[in-house]
Amino acid sequence: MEPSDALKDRSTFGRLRDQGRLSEIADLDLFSSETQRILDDIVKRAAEQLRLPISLVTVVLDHAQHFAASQGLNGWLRDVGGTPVEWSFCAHAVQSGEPFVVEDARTHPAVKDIPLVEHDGVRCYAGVPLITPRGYPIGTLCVVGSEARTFSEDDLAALRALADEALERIEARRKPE
Amino acid sequence: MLTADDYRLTIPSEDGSRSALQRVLGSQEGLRMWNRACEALGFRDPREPLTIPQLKAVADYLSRGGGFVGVMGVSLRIRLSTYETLAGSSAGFGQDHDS
Repeated sequence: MEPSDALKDRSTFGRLRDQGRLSEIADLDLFSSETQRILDDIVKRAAEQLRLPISLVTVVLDHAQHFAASQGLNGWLRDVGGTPVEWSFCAHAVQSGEPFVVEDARTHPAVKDIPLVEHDGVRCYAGVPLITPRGYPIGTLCVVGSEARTFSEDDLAALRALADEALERIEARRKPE
Repeated sequence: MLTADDYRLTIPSEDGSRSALQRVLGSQEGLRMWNRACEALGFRDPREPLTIPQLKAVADYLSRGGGFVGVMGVSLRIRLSTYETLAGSSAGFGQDHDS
C-alpha cells in the first residue's frame, strides 16, 4: 500500500523518521514474544482500570505501528499485530510527546477519516507516550473503546502510572552498549 | 462485505516500499540499502517489478540486519501484511477472517 500524503509530509509525522529514535527502538528488543510476556499484565490492568475492552502497548515505527502487547484485540488487527502509521492514533502522542485523547473519533478532526473509525468501530481513545530516559518517545500505552466517552484527569494519571511501569520493564531489557 | 477498497488500500509497489526507506535514510543511501537487499536475495531483473512475496522477503532481510534499518524492515513488513490480510478478508474488529 502506498503511503498517504500525510505520511509523505515531514511536518505531520516527521519525528517518527528520526534515526536516533528508531535506533532507540532497535536497542530495546520490542518485537519479541518475551516483550509481550512482560507487558501482558500491564495492558490487562489498563483495560480493567479504565473500563475499556482494548488496551495496547504500541511501538510507533517510521511507517507502521507494532502492537508489542495487547488486550482484547480481535480480527485482522490481532492477526497483523500492527497497522500502517497513517492509521495510528498513537503516532499523535509520539509526535507531540504528550497524551492524546479522543472522546469521539467520529468527530475528531485528526482521526475521523481513519479506516479504523469507519470500519473497525474505534470510537474513543486515550494514549500516553512512552518516553525513554534518553528522551525518545518510542510508542504508547493506550486504551480503546467502541463507544464515545470522556476521560478524567484520574484516568490519565492511572494510564501514566501504568505506562511508567511498562517503560521500566522495557528498559530493564535494553541491550548493553 | 468490506474489501480492501473500503480501507482505501492500493497494492504495495516496489517504488513505494523503496521510497519509504529513502525518506529515512536519504535518497542515495536508501537506494543503496534497497539494492543491496535485492542483490542478496537474487532479485536483479530490472524488467520485472518485485511481487508482494518478494517485497516481504526484502522486508525480512532488512529486519534481520538489526539497528534502525532493522526497525524499518519490520515497519515495511507490517504494511505489506496489512494489505495482504485485508485484501483477502472481509473482517473487522471482533471478527475472524472466515466470518
